[in-house]
Amino acid sequence: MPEGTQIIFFITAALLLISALGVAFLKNLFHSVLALAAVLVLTAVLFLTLQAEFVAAVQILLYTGGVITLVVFAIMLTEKLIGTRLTQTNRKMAVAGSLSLALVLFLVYAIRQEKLLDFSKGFSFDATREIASGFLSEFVVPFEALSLLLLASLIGALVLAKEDENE
Amino acid sequence: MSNYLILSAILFGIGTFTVISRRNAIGILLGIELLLNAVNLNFIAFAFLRENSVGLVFVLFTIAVTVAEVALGLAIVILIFRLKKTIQADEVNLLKG
Repeated sequence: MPEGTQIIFFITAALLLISALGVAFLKNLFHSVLALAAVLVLTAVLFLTLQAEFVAAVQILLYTGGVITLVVFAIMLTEKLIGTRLTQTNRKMAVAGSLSLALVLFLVYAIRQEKLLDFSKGFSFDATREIASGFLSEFVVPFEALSLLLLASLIGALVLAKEDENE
Repeated sequence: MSNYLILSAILFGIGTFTVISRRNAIGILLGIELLLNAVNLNFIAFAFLRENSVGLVFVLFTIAVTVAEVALGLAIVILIFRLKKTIQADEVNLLKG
């Protein structure tokens, strides 16, 4: 792995962790969503360091473009109408903290056990081309099922969120 | 390589913390986003390590399913808000007898 990529990785990782902590701890939910947007963009940068350009582009387009917009809409529809800001966290902070800390420690321990995790030089093929041929040959049935799922969720979200006409 | 895995593990931990500690239903959805993001990072790292494009394809599937999940989840949140005038997850107890 080249030296420059290492530096980019460590800077991005530090920013990523700060933003993720922002998602977890910021009082205002709207600020949390902005921190989540930062997390998603920084993850896309990490994808670029792993030579996954197409996935990085999809990440920015779909996640940062689509999901963040949806969540901001939902916050504006719900929170602003109440007016008062309710407490965002419940009293299970200690339980949640110790549980997730134990999870992280266990995972890091397990990763440290594995010695043969050395980096390859990168893809010896065009990754985007491989993705495309994968979608149209080996994974064509899941691909079609996915389009069906998207259609179903589109209709489902419409039906659920629609105002009741009988009122 | 293991740097990526450790970063992804820490992100997963923060996501778990968010899911458990948030009371707001939208906050819980944000935590789920963090979890899925950490998993995606792992997939890409292993795809790079093994020089195998299946990990990339899987990440694209995950992203699409996540978008569908968020759309439906937010629709449900808005529906609950209309019914109960709250989206605090512990105040929604319609199924409690």
